Amino acid sequence: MTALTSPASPLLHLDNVTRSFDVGGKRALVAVRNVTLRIQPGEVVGLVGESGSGKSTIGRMAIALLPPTEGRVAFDGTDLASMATDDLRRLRQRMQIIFQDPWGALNPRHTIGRLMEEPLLLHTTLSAAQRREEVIAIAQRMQLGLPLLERYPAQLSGGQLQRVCIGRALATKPDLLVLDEPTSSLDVSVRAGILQLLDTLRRETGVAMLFISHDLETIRALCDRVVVLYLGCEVESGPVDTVFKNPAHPYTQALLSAQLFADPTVKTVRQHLQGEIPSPLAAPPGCPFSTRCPIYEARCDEGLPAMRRDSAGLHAARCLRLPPDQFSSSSPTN
Amino acid sequence: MSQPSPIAAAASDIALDAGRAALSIRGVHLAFASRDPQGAVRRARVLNGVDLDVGAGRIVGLIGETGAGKSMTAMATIGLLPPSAEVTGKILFEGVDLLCLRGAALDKVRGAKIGFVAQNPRAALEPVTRVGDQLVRLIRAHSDLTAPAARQRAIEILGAVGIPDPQARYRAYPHELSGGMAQRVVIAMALVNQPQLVIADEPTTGLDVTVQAQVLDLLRQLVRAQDAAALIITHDLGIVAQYCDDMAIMFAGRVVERGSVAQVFASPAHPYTRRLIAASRARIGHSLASIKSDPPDLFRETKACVYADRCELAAAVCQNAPMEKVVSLANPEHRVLCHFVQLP
Repeated sequence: MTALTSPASPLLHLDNVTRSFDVGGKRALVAVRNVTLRIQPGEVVGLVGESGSGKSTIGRMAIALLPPTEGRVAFDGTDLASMATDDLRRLRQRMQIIFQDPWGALNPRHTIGRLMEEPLLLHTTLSAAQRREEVIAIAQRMQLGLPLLERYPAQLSGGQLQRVCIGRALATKPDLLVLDEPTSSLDVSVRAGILQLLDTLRRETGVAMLFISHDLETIRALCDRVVVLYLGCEVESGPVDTVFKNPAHPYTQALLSAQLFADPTVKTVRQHLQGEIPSPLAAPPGCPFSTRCPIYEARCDEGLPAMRRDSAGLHAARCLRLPPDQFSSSSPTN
Repeated sequence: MSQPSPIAAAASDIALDAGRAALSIRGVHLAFASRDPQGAVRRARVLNGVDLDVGAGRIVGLIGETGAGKSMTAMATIGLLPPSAEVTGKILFEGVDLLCLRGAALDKVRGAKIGFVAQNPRAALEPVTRVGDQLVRLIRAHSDLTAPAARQRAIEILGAVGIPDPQARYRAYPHELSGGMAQRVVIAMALVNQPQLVIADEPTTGLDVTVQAQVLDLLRQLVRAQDAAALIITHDLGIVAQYCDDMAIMFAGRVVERGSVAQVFASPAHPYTRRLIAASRARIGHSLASIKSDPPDLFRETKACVYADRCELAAAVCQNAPMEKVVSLANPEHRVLCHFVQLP
C-alpha cells in the first residue's frame, strides 16, 4: 500500500477540517468536526457512516465543491482555498465526483454520446473526430454498447447510467475520484458489476478513490483503508482487513454486528444499540457516541476523546476505553 | 387450480395444505395498457402468473430486483391497484378471493386482518394528524372500543413497538419523529388490530444499518407474538437470510423459485437464484460476481421463460413456457420454474 511508502506527499490532505452550516436562529450545525484524512496516489479509501455522519460533506470538500469552515484542504500539496477560479477549473480535470443518483446527474435532453463528450469539450483541445474516437474507447471500457451512445438517459437502466457517469468522470484521466454512494440506488446484481468495473479501473489507471458508502461489504471488497465516521467525527480508521477483523471502537463493532449476511447459516450476535443517531444540532458534549454506547461511563462526557493509535500507527480509534496495551500513542491531529 | 400441467398441479397439491396457508396467490396476471410514442396501444405485463403461498405463522421474504413485480403483488393483495390495472387470477385469504372484494367488504379485511407496513413511513402517516389519533381512528374503524379504551390501546401498542414515553409521543405529529420512530409507528398501525397477515414493503430501506436491525427484530418479535404470518418484500438477500422462514424469488413478474430459506440457500435450483446468491456471497469473499443486467422488456408478448434472455443455460426449449416443478420430493414446498430442473 502506498500509504506506507510515501506518507510525506498525499494526493489529498484534509487537515483538521471542520464544516458547519448556518441553520438560522444563530445556531450552527456542525456536519464535520476536526477530521484529518490523507489519501495517497492510487489509494482507495472508504468512508463509512450512517446518515448525518458527514460523509457527503467530506466528499464535497475533497473536490472543492464546498469550502471548509476551519482547517485546510490540499490537493497535491496546493491549498484549494488559495487557488484562483481559473486554476481551480483546470485542477478539476484531476478530481472528479460520481453521485448516488445517476438519473439526477445526467441532463435528460442530451444523448449519451453527447454527455460523454462533454468533459472532453471542457477540458481538452481534441478535435471532433478525436473526441468521437475517445468517447467510443471510453464506452467500450465501461462495457456500454455503442448503440447506447445515440440514446437518451431515460432509455437506459440505472446500472448503464452509472457506467456513463463513471465514464464521464474518467474521461479527463483524473488522479482522484470521489464516489458518493455510487451503488446505493442500484439492484444487487447490477451493483456487483459496477464494483467490478471500479476495481478494474483502479488497477488499470491507478486512480485514487474516496469511496463513500454505508455498505460495509462494498467497502471491504474495494478499499485499502477505511475511515468510520459518527456524527461528523472520525471514530476509527485503519487498513480494511484490520478494522473488519478487529474493530476497536464500540460504534464500529455495533455497525459490523448489524450487517445482515446473505447466508442463513451465518448467525451474527447482534449487539443492539439503543436509540438513534442524535441530531447534529444537539450533539453530546463529549464523545459523540456517548448517548448510545454500551460501555459509556461518566468521563466520556468530558470533551472529545483523542484518536489513539496502535504501535504500527495504522489502526486508530477515538475512545477512552480502548485496551491501553494495544492503543497507546495519543495523536489528536494525525 | 388454474395451472395447465397435470404434473405441476399434482406438485402443487402436495404442498398446498389449504388450512395452513394464510395467503395463497394463484396465477395472478397484471397488466397496464398505455400508448407507445406512435400512439398504438401496448400492454406492460407487470405480473405474469404469480404463484405464492404464505403459511400460517410463517415469515416469507419476497425478493427481486426493481420492476420484478414485488410491490405490485403486495398492492394486488391489499386492493390498492390503480383503476387502470387489468388483473386476473386468485388471491385467497381465509377462503375468500381478495381480488373479488370491493368497498366495505375489502375494508373489513384491510387494516384489520391484513396489516401493511409501507416503505416510506413519512408518506404512510398523515402529516397533520397526531400519531395517536391516527392509531385510534384505525382501532375504532375495526372494533367497538370506546374512545378512551382505544386511546389506551394506542398507547399500549406505541410502548410495544419500543417508542419511549408513549403517553407523550401519542400527541406527536409525524414530522416530529425520526425515520426509525416513524417506521415504528407504521408497524404499530399494521399490528394494532392483531391481523393474521402483515405485508411489509421494503420496511427498512430508508433506515440506517443499526436502526434497520432494531426495526426488523421488532417486526419479527411482534409477528411471532401475535402468531401472525408476514410477507416481507425486499431486495436485500441479507434480510431474507436472517429474518425469514420461507422465500420466493421474483423475476419479470413471475415467482421463479420458492421454498424454505434454508433449502433455497443450500440448494438454489433456478439459474437466477444461483446468480443472485453468488453476487451477494462473492462480495463477502472479496471477489466480485455480477449478473447480466438488461431490464426485461415488459411490453413483449411471449411464452418464453422470463429469464431466457439473461440465462447462461438458455436453449431452444426456453422459448416454451416452463412449469413449476418440485425440486426434491423430500421438500415438496421447494419449487422452481425452469426447464433444466429434472423432476425427482
